[in-house]
Amino acid sequence: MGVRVRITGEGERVVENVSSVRELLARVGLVGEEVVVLRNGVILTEDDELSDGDEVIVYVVKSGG
Amino acid sequence: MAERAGLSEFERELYSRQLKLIGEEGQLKLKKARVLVAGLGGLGSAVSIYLAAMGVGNLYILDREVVEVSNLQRQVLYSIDDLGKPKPLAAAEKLRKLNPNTNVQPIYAEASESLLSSIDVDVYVDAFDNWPARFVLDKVAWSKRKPLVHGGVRGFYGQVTVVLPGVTPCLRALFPITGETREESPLQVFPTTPGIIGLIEALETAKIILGMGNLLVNKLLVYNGLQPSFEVIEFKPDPKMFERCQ
Repeated sequence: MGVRVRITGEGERVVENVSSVRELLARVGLVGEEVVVLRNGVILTEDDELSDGDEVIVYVVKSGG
Repeated sequence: MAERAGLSEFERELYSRQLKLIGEEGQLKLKKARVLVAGLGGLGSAVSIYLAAMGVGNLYILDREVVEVSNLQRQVLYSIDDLGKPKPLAAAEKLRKLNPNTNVQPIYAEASESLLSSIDVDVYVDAFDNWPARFVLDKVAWSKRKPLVHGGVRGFYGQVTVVLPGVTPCLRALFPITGETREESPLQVFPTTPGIIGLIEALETAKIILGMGNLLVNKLLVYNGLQPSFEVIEFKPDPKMFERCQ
């Protein structure tokens, strides 16, 4: 079933066998990036757990000025 | 020339194309307002030009850098004549010519907590280009319980949100995953991106001062210039997030 992730501007995909935000970011190649991760509108940290069936939004934050 | 209700004849003429939108009372609110624009790059250029032009009365403008050639494609406050000058001083000169009614206070310095705490303003505008400086500003705005308007850009993309202490979490809680500080080659920014994002920051700042409309509160406005699209991502403030702001 996996975690359904929408990376804004890049579309949606399902990632299987991930149990935390940290793992998810590693699987979608966003380690070391500034990101906002939301599940049902709640902002998550890297330590937060994920379960099969979760739907999350990942936004890669832009840091320039 | 006779003055009434605190605006001169010249000011009434200067703002004649906006007075019916915000009223003379609104214009006076702008005139009394104190705003800190933190960072005078691409975002800070757009924000400060428009805040001065619309009649914000007191602008504190802060940056630690001097004007370089590579700034000129997007930092529209500056021209060739300004190369080598401290950005706040070059910017102040430009803004005072644009609107002599605006009291411009240039601050050529690093954004330390003690410096920022010593400046009392009604709204803080985050136009910085790095997270350490942003988070210092965020800490000060939060401790003073004042609104902070955040903007960030890269390439053809950007985001804006408004932090209202207590109503929204602080920036540190909104952006808990800020990666590593990377020594990468200078960020690529298409010139129009900070213009667009900076003007949305200026608009949110004006709305805060005027008490008009709805703010980007607990909302992240996400801009994609290539699509092109604007998307609003709503988030729910969670009690855990407020704990990270103390």
